Amino acid sequence: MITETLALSIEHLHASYEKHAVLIDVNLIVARGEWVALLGPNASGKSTLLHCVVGMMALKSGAVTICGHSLAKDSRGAKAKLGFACAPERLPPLLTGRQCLEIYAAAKGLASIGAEVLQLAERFQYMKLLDQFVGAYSLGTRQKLAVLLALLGEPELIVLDEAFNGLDPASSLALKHHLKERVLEKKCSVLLATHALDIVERYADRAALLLNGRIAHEWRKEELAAMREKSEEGFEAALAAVAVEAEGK
Amino acid sequence: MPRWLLARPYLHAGVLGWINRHRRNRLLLPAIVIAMLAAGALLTLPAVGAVLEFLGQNPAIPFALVGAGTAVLTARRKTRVYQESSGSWLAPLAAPASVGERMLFPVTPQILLLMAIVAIPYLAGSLSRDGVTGLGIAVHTAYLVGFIVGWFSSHDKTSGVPDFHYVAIRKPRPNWATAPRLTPLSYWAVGQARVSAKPKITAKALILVLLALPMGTPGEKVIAIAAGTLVVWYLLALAVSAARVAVYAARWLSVTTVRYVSFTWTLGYGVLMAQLWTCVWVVFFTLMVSVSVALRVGSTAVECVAFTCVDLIVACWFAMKAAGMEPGRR
Repeated sequence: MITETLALSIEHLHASYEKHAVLIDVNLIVARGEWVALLGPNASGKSTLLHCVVGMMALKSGAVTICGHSLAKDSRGAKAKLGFACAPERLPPLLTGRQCLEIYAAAKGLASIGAEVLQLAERFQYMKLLDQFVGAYSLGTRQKLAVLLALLGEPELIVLDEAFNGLDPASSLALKHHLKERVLEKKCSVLLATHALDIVERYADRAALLLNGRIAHEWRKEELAAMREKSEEGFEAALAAVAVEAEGK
Repeated sequence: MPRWLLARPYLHAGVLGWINRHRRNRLLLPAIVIAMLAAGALLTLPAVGAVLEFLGQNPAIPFALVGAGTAVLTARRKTRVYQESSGSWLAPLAAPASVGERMLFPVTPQILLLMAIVAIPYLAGSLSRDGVTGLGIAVHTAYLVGFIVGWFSSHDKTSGVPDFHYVAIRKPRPNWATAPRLTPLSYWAVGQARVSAKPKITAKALILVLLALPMGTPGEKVIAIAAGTLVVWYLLALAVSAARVAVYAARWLSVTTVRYVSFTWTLGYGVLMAQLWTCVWVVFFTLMVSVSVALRVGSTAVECVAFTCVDLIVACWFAMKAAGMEPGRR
């Protein structure tokens, strides 16, 4: 696959916290208009991998390329294509939701906040909370704001770290539909780290399992579709089997 | 908001944060103004003028103090700015991190403050022309030198999740699961103190002490003062960590039925043991100098441990009270 058709390319990525190696030789690609789910048990390195992708953590070695822009050589060019929902606890407590959106939009050089984002905020029932301080928000409301920030400016690659945590069912469904619409219209690609297997089964085009800092297995679109149809337990059983096998090795 | 500010999200967020802080607490700005006026009034006192006159005639002292202080503050700020740049909610943006501007942002008020400290007593007539010249040149040169030294002494540009530490924990008790105890509470406080007393942090504070060398202080004296500073730093870090951990732990354990005495005792035990152990070694080393010095150091050490006891008792009481844990319950 040539670079121009890729939204994200991760090659031989190694990352560590001081002497503790967290990611070991990770290779992953996300094509344009593709939704890739990143799975793995707690502390397997999913969030670290996403932090490396968005430039919040330095790589020990390897390369990350976003829409043809190398994160190391052209960090601004790469980040301009990116939307990342940061962890809700990192949002600034002293600002209001409206101010956060305004800052992000201004920093991205947008003339206005897109109608799509405002519509999603309506569907999230978030508009009435816009002028409250982030410090007063619940976890779910912070999560909604983090997601809205990630979607600002029609990014070509949306990176979400367990973005459905804390969302109420209606908002969660609204977000899934919104992301699927964006992906289907080839507007963007999604890389989502999640534990929610229903999303993998119903929405993702591909899935990758991260175990002990390595990509242990990948499922193609056809495999996911076949699993949906054949197995009663669906993806859950397949994932457990692969995880047990990988741990055994 | 001006356009250049809108294009700099870190500064934009900082300015909005300050405005919101004022909106949330309308007394904040008047309180700052009153405090500044009071400080200005204090500077007009003849006694303060006399002290500043002395400093103006001995410019090495204000030079060392302001230079060391600025160096430490600049180094700390630079580290914080870099950490924020990699871990902030704004980090994934393609906008500039404005490190230089964020570093220079507090410079203007700080220089104005230094100018006020020198100018107000002069205008009030309690500082001579020679005094104001000597002091003015010393503090402003020291500020510049301190800023440059601080900037180049901090190389912590590593990108990573801030405050992330993999720590080596001591060997766990074999029966930790079958007979759980509160003991790890005290490790928590001691661990925090050790982090704040790491050489990487204390080295910056020692710049201040080492500046005594070019001022003509003998080397052996400087080494003794540096060692003493490290010990005092660690002892204070233990006392401060105990109070901080009391607050965090009380909040965390507020849903349990832990009692005040056992909470305070468990939290304090490790802290006091660490302080006593340090003090014993200090007294032992000072014994080699003379018995009278060892006795004086010993009595200071006892006072320090007693202070930590009081600190623990008060901090645990208020922490439990604030967490709604009824510390007075038997």
